Amino acid sequence: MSKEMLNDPHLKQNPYTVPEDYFRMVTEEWQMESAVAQTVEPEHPRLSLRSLFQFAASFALLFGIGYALFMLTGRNRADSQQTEEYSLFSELSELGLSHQTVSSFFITDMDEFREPAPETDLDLDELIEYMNYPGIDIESLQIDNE
Amino acid sequence: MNSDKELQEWCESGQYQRAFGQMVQQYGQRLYWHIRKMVIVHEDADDLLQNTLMKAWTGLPTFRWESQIFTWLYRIATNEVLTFLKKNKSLKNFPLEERLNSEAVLFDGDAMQRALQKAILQLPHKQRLVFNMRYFDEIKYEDMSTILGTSVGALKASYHHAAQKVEQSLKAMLL
Repeated sequence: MSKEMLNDPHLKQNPYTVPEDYFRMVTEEWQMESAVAQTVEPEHPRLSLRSLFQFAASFALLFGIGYALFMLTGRNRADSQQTEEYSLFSELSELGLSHQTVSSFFITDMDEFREPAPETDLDLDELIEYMNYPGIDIESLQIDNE
Repeated sequence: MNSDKELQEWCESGQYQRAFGQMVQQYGQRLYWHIRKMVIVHEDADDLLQNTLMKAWTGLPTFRWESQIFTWLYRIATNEVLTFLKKNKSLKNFPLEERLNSEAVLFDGDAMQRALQKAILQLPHKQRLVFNMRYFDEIKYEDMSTILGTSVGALKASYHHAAQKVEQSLKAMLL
């Protein structure tokens, strides 16, 4: 027994058989099946490149709208106001005003918002006594000369 | 014989029925014999061929035409066969060797051909697949690699071992 036996063309022949007209029936049956199936299944499940781009564009649009809403709700408003204030400060500085002058503008502006002190009726005698008061009670001082 | 390109053009223009009818006519018999040599009995082979064709029909719109259509069809059929051999409980009660000896099986070969089939049945399922595809169907190793998802080198080695085993079995049976 050797490889020559396996190379025998007789052994390579198919020994099995099928019922009569089997293959013709299979072919006809499937041609009919596919004809029926095609009438109810015309859809293509494959995703085209165009639909992928449409999906990506929709996602980008929704993301952009979401981001814009997030910015408009004021989450980062404090940062943006601070940026504006710095911008005004640097803008005035660029006009030739010194840093101190510019700072005084803001301090003056802030003073305008301070509440005024409550007015009280002063006694004239008390006021004169207060103004004459030297800060030191001479009579209570005891100077030790020893 | 219609080329894959022609079948592809039909599919791309929506003529799936025309393309599929041509595919069944062109490859139906080869697929059947590929299955039949693995399961021996005609009824099981017929069932598996129907399953294979059904899956091919439903999957045809998703086929990318990057490989040959026949390797794709063979791959579906091979998966069906391996699943059947792995999961079918009737094989325990009615093993493949007994199927071959049964009178119900449609077998028209002589004693040598029957001995060869018995020798092939002693191989593991995947090695039997490789042997059948190479020995009977003369499928190229590159195409077998696509169908079975195995490297060409491994397939050559597998076929070599299978042929040696078959020769030894034949020797034991006939001499």
